Amino acid sequence: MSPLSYDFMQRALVAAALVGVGAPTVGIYLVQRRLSLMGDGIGHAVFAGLAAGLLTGAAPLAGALVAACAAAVAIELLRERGRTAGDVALALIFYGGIAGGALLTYLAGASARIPSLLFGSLLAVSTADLVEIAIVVLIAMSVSIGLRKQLFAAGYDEDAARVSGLPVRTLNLAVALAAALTVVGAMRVVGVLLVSALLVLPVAAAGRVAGSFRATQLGGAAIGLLVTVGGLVAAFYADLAPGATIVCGGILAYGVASAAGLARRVGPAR
Amino acid sequence: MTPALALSGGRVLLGGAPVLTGVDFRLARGELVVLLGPNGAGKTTLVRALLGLAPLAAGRAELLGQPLERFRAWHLIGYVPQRGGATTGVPATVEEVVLTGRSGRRRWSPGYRTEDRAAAGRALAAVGLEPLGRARVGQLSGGQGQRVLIARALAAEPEVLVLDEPVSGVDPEGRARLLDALAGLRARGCAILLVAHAVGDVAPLTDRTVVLRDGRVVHDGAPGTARLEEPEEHHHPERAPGPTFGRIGEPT
Repeated sequence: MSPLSYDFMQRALVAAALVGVGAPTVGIYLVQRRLSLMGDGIGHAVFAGLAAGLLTGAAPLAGALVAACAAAVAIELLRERGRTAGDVALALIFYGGIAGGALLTYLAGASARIPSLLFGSLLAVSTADLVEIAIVVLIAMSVSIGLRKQLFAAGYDEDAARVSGLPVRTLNLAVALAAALTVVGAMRVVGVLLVSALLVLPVAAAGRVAGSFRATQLGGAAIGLLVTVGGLVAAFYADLAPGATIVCGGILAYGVASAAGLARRVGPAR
Repeated sequence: MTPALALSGGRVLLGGAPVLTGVDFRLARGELVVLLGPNGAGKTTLVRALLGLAPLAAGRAELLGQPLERFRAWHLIGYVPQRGGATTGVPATVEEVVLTGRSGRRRWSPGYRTEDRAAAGRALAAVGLEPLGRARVGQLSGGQGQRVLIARALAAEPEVLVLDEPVSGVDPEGRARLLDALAGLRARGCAILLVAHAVGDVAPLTDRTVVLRDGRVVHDGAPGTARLEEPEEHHHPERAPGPTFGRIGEPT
Protein backbone atom coordinates (compact mmCIF):
# COMPACT_ATOMS: atom_id res chain seq x y z
CA MET A 1 0.00 0.00 0.00
CA SER A 2 1.62 3.25 -1.12
CA PRO A 3 1.33 6.28 1.18
CA LEU A 4 0.43 8.32 -1.89
CA SER A 5 -2.81 6.42 -2.43
CA TYR A 6 -4.32 8.34 0.49
CA ASP A 7 -5.41 11.95 0.06
CA PHE A 8 -4.46 12.82 3.64
CA MET A 9 -0.97 11.45 3.08
CA GLN A 10 -0.55 13.47 -0.10
CA ARG A 11 -1.43 16.65 1.78
CA ALA A 12 0.76 15.65 4.72
CA LEU A 13 3.72 15.00 2.44
CA VAL A 14 3.42 18.40 0.77
CA ALA A 15 3.12 20.12 4.16
CA ALA A 16 6.09 18.18 5.51
CA ALA A 17 8.20 19.02 2.46
CA LEU A 18 7.38 22.74 2.64
CA VAL A 19 8.23 22.95 6.30
CA GLY A 20 11.24 20.67 5.92
CA VAL A 21 12.82 23.03 3.40
CA GLY A 22 11.57 26.29 4.89
CA ALA A 23 12.31 25.87 8.59
CA PRO A 24 16.11 25.38 8.31
CA THR A 25 16.37 28.12 5.68
CA VAL A 26 15.08 30.54 8.31
CA GLY A 27 16.48 28.73 11.34
CA ILE A 28 20.09 29.18 10.21
CA TYR A 29 19.90 32.83 11.29
CA LEU A 30 18.71 31.82 14.75
CA VAL A 31 21.53 29.29 15.09
CA GLN A 32 24.00 31.90 13.81
CA ARG A 33 22.84 34.39 16.45
CA ARG A 34 22.84 31.69 19.14
CA LEU A 35 19.11 32.18 19.45
CA SER A 36 18.10 28.55 19.09
CA LEU A 37 15.67 28.93 21.98
CA MET A 38 13.74 31.68 20.18
CA GLY A 39 11.83 29.07 18.18
CA ASP A 40 10.81 27.32 21.40
CA GLY A 41 9.69 30.60 22.96
CA ILE A 42 7.60 31.40 19.90
CA GLY A 43 6.18 27.88 19.88
CA HIS A 44 5.09 28.10 23.51
CA ALA A 45 3.42 31.46 22.91
CA VAL A 46 1.68 30.05 19.83
CA PHE A 47 0.04 27.41 22.01
CA ALA A 48 -1.63 30.19 24.01
CA GLY A 49 -2.53 31.99 20.78
CA LEU A 50 -4.16 28.92 19.29
CA ALA A 51 -6.10 28.35 22.51
CA ALA A 52 -7.26 31.96 22.56
CA GLY A 53 -8.44 31.48 18.99
CA LEU A 54 -10.41 28.38 20.01
CA LEU A 55 -11.95 30.16 22.99
CA THR A 56 -13.02 33.29 21.17
CA GLY A 57 -14.13 31.46 18.05
CA ALA A 58 -11.70 33.47 15.98
CA ALA A 59 -9.64 31.59 13.44
CA PRO A 60 -6.90 29.66 15.29
CA LEU A 61 -4.45 30.80 12.63
CA ALA A 62 -5.05 34.45 13.52
CA GLY A 63 -4.43 33.74 17.19
CA ALA A 64 -1.30 31.77 16.36
CA LEU A 65 0.07 34.48 14.07
CA VAL A 66 -0.52 37.28 16.57
CA ALA A 67 1.03 35.31 19.42
CA ALA A 68 3.99 34.21 17.31
CA CYS A 69 4.83 37.69 16.05
CA ALA A 70 4.38 39.28 19.49
CA ALA A 71 6.62 36.67 21.12
CA ALA A 72 9.24 36.97 18.38
CA VAL A 73 9.46 40.75 18.66
CA ALA A 74 9.50 40.59 22.46
CA ILE A 75 12.31 38.03 22.50
CA GLU A 76 14.36 40.00 19.98
CA LEU A 77 13.99 43.27 21.90
CA LEU A 78 14.92 41.51 25.15
CA ARG A 79 17.99 40.00 23.51
CA GLU A 80 19.04 43.42 22.27
CA ARG A 81 18.78 44.88 25.76
CA GLY A 82 21.04 42.35 27.37
CA ARG A 83 21.25 38.87 28.68
CA THR A 84 20.23 38.91 32.31
CA ALA A 85 16.82 40.54 32.03
CA GLY A 86 16.12 38.55 28.88
CA ASP A 87 16.72 35.21 30.55
CA VAL A 88 13.89 35.56 33.05
CA ALA A 89 11.60 37.17 30.50
CA LEU A 90 12.18 34.29 28.11
CA ALA A 91 11.29 31.86 30.88
CA LEU A 92 8.08 33.82 31.51
CA ILE A 93 7.13 33.46 27.83
CA PHE A 94 7.74 29.71 28.06
CA TYR A 95 5.66 29.15 31.20
CA GLY A 96 3.03 31.72 30.31
CA GLY A 97 2.53 30.19 26.88
CA ILE A 98 2.01 26.65 28.12
CA ALA A 99 0.00 27.49 31.25
CA GLY A 100 -2.08 30.10 29.45
CA GLY A 101 -2.65 27.76 26.53
CA ALA A 102 -3.71 24.88 28.76
CA LEU A 103 -6.05 27.12 30.73
CA LEU A 104 -7.66 28.70 27.67
CA THR A 105 -8.05 25.31 25.97
CA TYR A 106 -9.79 23.99 29.07
CA LEU A 107 -12.07 27.04 29.19
CA ALA A 108 -12.90 26.50 25.52
CA GLY A 109 -13.90 22.92 26.35
CA ALA A 110 -11.28 21.65 23.93
CA SER A 111 -8.86 19.88 26.26
CA ALA A 112 -9.02 16.78 24.07
CA ARG A 113 -7.18 18.72 21.38
CA ILE A 114 -4.18 19.54 23.53
CA PRO A 115 -2.03 16.58 22.34
CA SER A 116 -2.53 17.46 18.68
CA LEU A 117 -1.66 21.11 19.36
CA LEU A 118 1.45 20.22 21.33
CA PHE A 119 2.75 17.43 19.11
CA GLY A 120 1.24 18.17 15.70
CA SER A 121 -1.55 16.76 13.59
CA LEU A 122 0.15 16.26 10.28
CA LEU A 123 -2.28 13.61 9.05
CA ALA A 124 -5.24 15.96 9.65
CA VAL A 125 -3.93 18.77 7.43
CA SER A 126 -6.72 20.01 5.14
CA THR A 127 -6.32 21.67 1.77
CA ALA A 128 -7.04 25.04 3.38
CA ASP A 129 -4.38 24.33 6.02
CA LEU A 130 -1.96 23.46 3.27
CA VAL A 131 -2.52 26.81 1.57
CA GLU A 132 -1.92 28.63 4.87
CA ILE A 133 1.25 26.67 5.51
CA ALA A 134 2.51 27.36 1.99
CA ILE A 135 1.87 31.11 2.27
CA VAL A 136 3.60 31.64 5.63
CA VAL A 137 6.53 29.38 4.81
CA LEU A 138 7.12 30.92 1.40
CA ILE A 139 7.06 34.46 2.83
CA ALA A 140 9.57 33.48 5.51
CA MET A 141 11.78 31.75 2.96
CA SER A 142 11.82 34.68 0.58
CA VAL A 143 12.97 36.97 3.41
CA SER A 144 15.67 34.48 4.40
CA ILE A 145 17.01 33.99 0.90
CA GLY A 146 16.42 37.49 -0.50
CA LEU A 147 18.19 39.17 2.42
CA ARG A 148 20.90 36.55 2.93
CA LYS A 149 23.71 39.07 2.37
CA GLN A 150 22.31 41.52 4.91
CA LEU A 151 21.11 38.96 7.48
CA PHE A 152 24.43 37.10 7.42
CA ALA A 153 26.42 40.31 7.91
CA ALA A 154 24.22 41.50 10.78
CA GLY A 155 24.34 38.09 12.46
CA TYR A 156 28.07 37.64 12.07
CA ASP A 157 29.14 40.93 13.66
CA GLU A 158 26.47 43.41 14.72
CA ASP A 159 28.83 46.31 15.38
CA ALA A 160 30.67 45.95 12.10
CA ALA A 161 27.34 45.65 10.26
CA ARG A 162 26.14 48.89 11.89
CA VAL A 163 29.30 50.67 10.84
CA SER A 164 28.77 49.32 7.31
CA GLY A 165 25.43 51.13 7.36
CA LEU A 166 23.12 48.13 7.64
CA PRO A 167 19.85 48.65 9.57
CA VAL A 168 20.76 45.94 12.06
CA ARG A 169 17.74 46.28 14.28
CA THR A 170 15.32 46.06 11.36
CA LEU A 171 17.19 43.02 10.04
CA ASN A 172 17.09 41.29 13.42
CA LEU A 173 13.36 41.95 13.67
CA ALA A 174 12.95 40.54 10.15
CA VAL A 175 14.67 37.34 11.32
CA ALA A 176 12.39 37.18 14.36
CA LEU A 177 9.24 37.66 12.28
CA ALA A 178 10.38 35.13 9.67
CA ALA A 179 10.91 32.69 12.53
CA ALA A 180 7.42 33.47 13.82
CA LEU A 181 5.87 32.70 10.42
CA THR A 182 7.87 29.51 10.16
CA VAL A 183 6.74 28.35 13.58
CA VAL A 184 3.11 28.95 12.59
CA GLY A 185 3.69 27.00 9.38
CA ALA A 186 5.46 24.16 11.15
CA MET A 187 3.14 23.83 14.15
CA ARG A 188 0.82 21.35 12.43
CA VAL A 189 3.72 19.22 11.25
CA VAL A 190 5.51 18.60 14.55
CA GLY A 191 3.45 20.57 17.09
CA VAL A 192 4.31 23.70 19.04
CA LEU A 193 6.58 21.90 21.51
CA LEU A 194 8.87 20.42 18.87
CA VAL A 195 8.66 23.12 16.25
CA SER A 196 12.04 24.59 17.11
CA ALA A 197 13.71 21.27 16.34
CA LEU A 198 12.98 21.79 12.64
CA LEU A 199 14.49 25.28 12.75
CA VAL A 200 17.65 24.13 14.50
CA LEU A 201 18.51 20.45 13.98
CA PRO A 202 18.95 20.36 10.18
CA VAL A 203 21.12 23.49 10.35
CA ALA A 204 23.22 22.08 13.17
CA ALA A 205 23.62 18.84 11.20
CA ALA A 206 24.60 20.64 7.99
CA GLY A 207 27.05 22.82 9.93
CA ARG A 208 28.99 19.72 10.98
CA VAL A 209 29.89 18.89 7.39
CA ALA A 210 29.52 22.10 5.34
CA GLY A 211 32.36 24.57 4.87
CA SER A 212 30.47 27.77 4.21
CA PHE A 213 27.37 29.60 5.38
CA ARG A 214 25.77 29.20 1.99
CA ALA A 215 26.40 25.45 1.91
CA THR A 216 25.05 25.15 5.44
CA GLN A 217 21.83 26.88 4.43
CA LEU A 218 21.36 24.69 1.34
CA GLY A 219 22.42 21.54 3.19
CA GLY A 220 20.10 22.38 6.07
CA ALA A 221 17.17 22.64 3.67
CA ALA A 222 18.12 19.30 2.07
CA ILE A 223 18.46 17.57 5.43
CA GLY A 224 15.19 19.16 6.60
CA LEU A 225 13.40 17.81 3.53
CA LEU A 226 14.89 14.35 4.03
CA VAL A 227 13.99 14.29 7.71
CA THR A 228 10.39 15.52 7.40
CA VAL A 229 9.41 13.44 4.37
CA GLY A 230 11.42 10.43 5.51
CA GLY A 231 10.02 10.69 9.02
CA LEU A 232 6.47 10.92 7.73
CA VAL A 233 6.86 7.90 5.45
CA ALA A 234 8.51 5.91 8.24
CA ALA A 235 5.71 6.86 10.60
CA PHE A 236 3.16 5.73 8.00
CA TYR A 237 4.64 2.26 7.61
CA ALA A 238 5.52 1.75 11.26
CA ASP A 239 2.30 3.34 12.51
CA LEU A 240 4.07 5.95 14.66
CA ALA A 241 3.27 9.55 15.59
CA PRO A 242 4.63 11.54 12.62
CA GLY A 243 5.75 14.68 14.51
CA ALA A 244 7.83 12.79 17.06
CA THR A 245 9.23 10.48 14.39
CA ILE A 246 10.35 13.47 12.31
CA VAL A 247 12.13 15.11 15.25
CA CYS A 248 13.84 11.85 16.23
CA GLY A 249 14.95 11.62 12.60
CA GLY A 250 16.42 15.11 12.95
CA ILE A 251 18.42 14.06 15.99
CA LEU A 252 19.61 10.99 14.10
CA ALA A 253 20.66 13.21 11.17
CA TYR A 254 22.64 15.39 13.56
CA GLY A 255 24.39 12.34 14.99
CA VAL A 256 25.25 10.99 11.53
CA ALA A 257 26.49 14.40 10.34
CA SER A 258 28.63 14.83 13.46
CA ALA A 259 30.23 11.45 12.90
CA ALA A 260 30.80 12.23 9.23
CA GLY A 261 32.32 15.62 10.05
CA LEU A 262 34.58 14.08 12.67
CA ALA A 263 35.66 11.29 10.33
CA ARG A 264 36.47 13.80 7.62
CA ARG A 265 38.56 15.92 9.95
CA VAL A 266 40.43 13.06 11.58
CA GLY A 267 40.55 10.61 8.70
CA PRO A 268 42.36 11.67 5.54
CA ALA A 269 44.41 14.49 7.09
CA ARG A 270 47.21 12.43 8.59
CA MET B 1 38.18 70.70 4.49
CA THR B 2 35.94 69.08 7.07
CA PRO B 3 37.61 66.47 9.27
CA ALA B 4 37.13 62.75 8.73
CA LEU B 5 36.19 62.21 12.36
CA ALA B 6 35.50 64.79 15.05
CA LEU B 7 34.25 64.78 18.59
CA SER B 8 33.84 67.82 20.81
CA GLY B 9 33.10 67.70 24.52
CA GLY B 10 32.49 63.97 24.29
CA ARG B 11 31.18 62.30 27.40
CA VAL B 12 30.26 58.63 27.55
CA LEU B 13 28.77 56.75 30.48
CA LEU B 14 28.91 52.99 30.84
CA GLY B 15 26.67 51.64 33.54
CA GLY B 16 26.23 55.18 34.86
CA ALA B 17 29.96 55.78 35.37
CA PRO B 18 31.81 58.23 33.12
CA VAL B 19 34.31 56.49 30.83
CA LEU B 20 35.07 59.54 28.71
CA THR B 21 34.90 63.11 29.96
CA GLY B 22 35.23 66.28 27.91
CA VAL B 23 37.04 64.59 25.06
CA ASP B 24 37.89 66.65 22.00
CA PHE B 25 39.20 64.63 19.12
CA ARG B 26 39.84 65.31 15.47
CA LEU B 27 41.11 63.16 12.61
CA ALA B 28 41.78 65.16 9.45
CA ARG B 29 41.30 63.65 6.01
CA GLY B 30 44.36 61.75 4.91
CA GLU B 31 45.85 61.82 8.39
CA LEU B 32 47.07 58.84 10.41
CA VAL B 33 46.57 59.19 14.15
CA VAL B 34 47.61 56.59 16.71
CA LEU B 35 45.44 56.52 19.81
CA LEU B 36 47.38 55.40 22.87
CA GLY B 37 46.78 54.92 26.53
CA PRO B 38 46.82 52.30 29.27
CA ASN B 39 44.19 49.59 29.51
CA GLY B 40 40.90 51.04 30.72
CA ALA B 41 41.77 54.57 29.57
CA GLY B 42 38.76 54.64 27.25
CA LYS B 43 40.39 54.07 23.86
CA THR B 44 37.82 51.57 22.63
CA THR B 45 34.98 53.64 24.05
CA LEU B 46 36.24 56.70 22.18
CA VAL B 47 36.35 54.72 18.95
CA ARG B 48 32.84 53.37 19.55
CA ALA B 49 31.52 56.84 20.35
CA LEU B 50 33.05 58.24 17.16
CA LEU B 51 31.27 55.52 15.16
CA GLY B 52 27.94 55.82 16.94
CA LEU B 53 28.25 52.45 18.69
CA ALA B 54 28.47 53.98 22.17
CA PRO B 55 25.88 56.68 22.90
CA LEU B 56 27.17 60.14 23.82
CA ALA B 57 25.86 61.52 27.09
CA ALA B 58 27.17 64.92 26.02
CA GLY B 59 29.09 66.35 23.11
CA ARG B 60 28.90 66.25 19.35
CA ALA B 61 30.35 63.75 16.92
CA GLU B 62 30.84 64.28 13.21
CA LEU B 63 31.78 61.91 10.42
CA LEU B 64 33.07 63.39 7.16
CA GLY B 65 31.56 66.72 8.16
CA GLN B 66 28.08 65.37 8.90
CA PRO B 67 26.59 65.16 12.39
CA LEU B 68 26.65 61.51 13.48
CA GLU B 69 22.88 61.16 13.66
CA ARG B 70 22.47 62.39 10.08
CA PHE B 71 25.45 60.56 8.62
CA ARG B 72 24.50 58.11 5.84
CA ALA B 73 27.69 57.43 3.86
CA TRP B 74 28.64 54.47 6.06
CA HIS B 75 30.03 52.55 3.10
CA LEU B 76 33.01 54.96 3.24
CA ILE B 77 33.93 53.82 6.76
CA GLY B 78 36.05 50.77 7.51
CA TYR B 79 36.12 49.36 11.02
CA VAL B 80 38.17 46.65 12.67
CA PRO B 81 36.64 45.97 16.09
CA GLN B 82 38.85 45.03 18.98
CA ARG B 83 37.72 41.46 19.39
CA GLY B 84 35.49 40.95 16.45
CA GLY B 85 34.39 37.78 14.79
CA ALA B 86 32.59 36.60 17.87
CA THR B 87 32.09 32.91 17.33
CA THR B 88 28.81 32.12 15.69
CA GLY B 89 26.94 28.87 15.55
CA VAL B 90 27.24 28.40 11.80
CA PRO B 91 30.34 27.92 9.65
CA ALA B 92 31.40 30.70 7.28
CA THR B 93 34.27 31.01 4.85
CA VAL B 94 36.92 33.72 4.93
CA GLU B 95 35.52 35.12 1.70
CA GLU B 96 31.96 35.24 3.07
CA VAL B 97 33.16 37.24 6.07
CA VAL B 98 35.37 39.61 4.06
CA LEU B 99 32.48 40.30 1.67
CA THR B 100 30.38 41.60 4.57
CA GLY B 101 32.67 44.65 4.47
CA ARG B 102 30.78 45.49 1.25
CA SER B 103 27.31 44.90 2.69
CA GLY B 104 26.62 48.62 3.19
CA ARG B 105 26.85 49.33 -0.54
CA ARG B 106 23.41 49.00 -2.18
CA ARG B 107 22.31 47.80 1.20
CA TRP B 108 18.97 46.33 0.10
CA SER B 109 20.13 44.63 -3.08
CA PRO B 110 20.35 40.84 -2.88
CA GLY B 111 23.79 39.33 -3.19
CA TYR B 112 27.18 40.76 -4.05
CA ARG B 113 28.35 41.96 -7.44
CA THR B 114 31.50 41.20 -9.36
CA GLU B 115 33.05 44.45 -8.17
CA ASP B 116 32.36 43.46 -4.55
CA ARG B 117 34.10 40.11 -5.06
CA ALA B 118 37.02 41.87 -6.75
CA ALA B 119 37.38 44.28 -3.82
CA ALA B 120 37.22 41.39 -1.35
CA GLY B 121 39.89 39.58 -3.34
CA ARG B 122 42.18 42.62 -3.27
CA ALA B 123 41.62 43.00 0.46
CA LEU B 124 42.51 39.36 1.07
CA ALA B 125 45.65 39.77 -1.00
CA ALA B 126 46.57 42.89 0.97
CA VAL B 127 46.66 40.89 4.21
CA GLY B 128 48.24 37.85 2.54
CA LEU B 129 45.29 35.50 2.95
CA GLU B 130 44.20 34.95 -0.65
CA PRO B 131 44.97 31.21 -0.57
CA LEU B 132 42.58 30.87 2.37
CA GLY B 133 39.46 32.43 0.81
CA ARG B 134 37.52 29.18 1.02
CA ALA B 135 38.78 28.18 4.47
CA ARG B 136 36.41 28.18 7.42
CA VAL B 137 37.07 31.17 9.66
CA GLY B 138 36.64 28.96 12.71
CA GLN B 139 39.67 26.90 11.73
CA LEU B 140 42.10 29.83 11.40
CA SER B 141 44.68 30.84 13.97
CA GLY B 142 43.99 33.91 16.09
CA GLY B 143 46.35 36.04 14.02
CA GLN B 144 44.81 34.86 10.75
CA GLY B 145 41.33 35.59 12.12
CA GLN B 146 42.43 39.12 12.97
CA ARG B 147 43.76 39.54 9.42
CA VAL B 148 40.34 38.44 8.10
CA LEU B 149 38.74 41.30 10.05
CA ILE B 150 41.30 43.73 8.69
CA ALA B 151 40.56 42.48 5.17
CA ARG B 152 36.84 42.95 5.80
CA ALA B 153 37.47 46.63 6.64
CA LEU B 154 39.79 47.05 3.63
CA ALA B 155 37.17 45.50 1.34
CA ALA B 156 34.94 48.50 2.03
CA GLU B 157 37.57 50.62 0.21
CA PRO B 158 37.13 53.17 2.97
CA GLU B 159 37.89 56.87 3.13
CA VAL B 160 38.07 56.57 6.89
CA LEU B 161 39.58 53.48 8.50
CA VAL B 162 39.32 52.83 12.23
CA LEU B 163 41.34 49.94 13.65
CA ASP B 164 41.01 48.99 17.32
CA GLU B 165 44.17 47.13 18.29
CA PRO B 166 44.31 45.36 14.96
CA VAL B 167 47.57 43.50 15.56
CA SER B 168 46.66 41.63 18.71
CA GLY B 169 47.87 38.11 18.07
CA VAL B 170 49.03 38.85 14.53
CA ASP B 171 52.32 37.28 13.49
CA PRO B 172 55.21 39.46 12.17
CA GLU B 173 54.39 38.68 8.55
CA GLY B 174 50.80 39.77 9.05
CA ARG B 175 51.99 42.92 10.78
CA ALA B 176 54.28 43.79 7.91
CA ARG B 177 51.40 43.23 5.46
CA LEU B 178 49.13 45.44 7.52
CA LEU B 179 51.75 48.16 7.62
CA ASP B 180 52.06 48.03 3.83
CA ALA B 181 48.29 48.19 3.48
CA LEU B 182 48.11 51.20 5.81
CA ALA B 183 50.84 52.97 3.88
CA GLY B 184 48.96 52.35 0.64
CA LEU B 185 45.69 53.61 2.05
CA ARG B 186 47.32 56.69 3.52
CA ALA B 187 49.00 57.46 0.20
CA ARG B 188 45.54 57.37 -1.40
CA GLY B 189 44.22 59.90 1.12
CA CYS B 190 42.41 57.57 3.50
CA ALA B 191 42.17 58.89 7.05
CA ILE B 192 43.30 56.29 9.58
CA LEU B 193 42.73 56.04 13.31
CA LEU B 194 44.75 53.26 14.87
CA VAL B 195 44.32 52.20 18.48
CA ALA B 196 47.47 50.62 19.86
CA HIS B 197 49.53 50.14 22.98
CA ALA B 198 52.58 51.71 21.35
CA VAL B 199 53.42 53.53 18.15
CA GLY B 200 56.20 51.11 17.29
CA ASP B 201 56.88 50.40 13.65
CA VAL B 202 53.92 52.48 12.46
CA ALA B 203 55.82 55.62 13.56
CA PRO B 204 57.04 56.56 10.05
CA LEU B 205 53.41 56.79 8.91
CA THR B 206 52.12 58.55 12.02
CA ASP B 207 51.11 62.20 11.78
CA ARG B 208 49.97 62.58 15.35
CA THR B 209 49.46 60.63 18.55
CA VAL B 210 46.64 61.13 21.00
CA VAL B 211 47.01 59.71 24.49
CA LEU B 212 44.05 58.95 26.72
CA ARG B 213 44.25 58.43 30.44
CA ASP B 214 41.27 57.92 32.72
CA GLY B 215 38.86 59.03 30.02
CA ARG B 216 40.61 62.29 29.21
CA VAL B 217 42.98 63.36 26.46
CA VAL B 218 46.35 63.99 28.10
CA HIS B 219 48.41 64.41 24.95
CA ASP B 220 47.62 65.39 21.38
CA GLY B 221 50.56 66.17 19.15
CA ALA B 222 53.49 64.99 17.12
CA PRO B 223 54.59 61.41 17.76
CA GLY B 224 57.46 60.83 20.12
CA THR B 225 56.84 63.97 22.16
CA ALA B 226 54.87 62.53 25.05
CA ARG B 227 56.25 60.51 27.89
CA LEU B 228 52.84 58.87 28.18
CA GLU B 229 53.29 57.28 24.80
CA GLU B 230 55.36 54.70 26.60
CA PRO B 231 53.09 51.73 27.09
CA GLU B 232 52.24 50.47 30.53
CA GLU B 233 53.80 47.14 29.66
CA HIS B 234 57.18 48.86 29.77
CA HIS B 235 57.07 48.77 33.54
CA HIS B 236 56.23 45.09 33.67
CA PRO B 237 59.00 43.40 31.74
CA GLU B 238 58.01 40.02 33.15
CA ARG B 239 54.64 40.20 31.43
CA ALA B 240 54.15 38.70 28.02
CA PRO B 241 54.42 41.38 25.35
CA GLY B 242 51.05 42.93 24.68
CA PRO B 243 49.50 43.46 21.29
CA THR B 244 51.74 46.27 20.11
CA PHE B 245 53.51 47.21 16.97
CA GLY B 246 56.75 46.87 18.90
CA ARG B 247 58.77 49.89 19.98
CA ILE B 248 61.26 51.86 18.04
CA GLY B 249 64.76 52.03 19.37
CA GLU B 250 64.33 48.88 21.37
CA PRO B 251 67.15 46.39 20.82
CA THR B 252 65.85 43.28 19.13
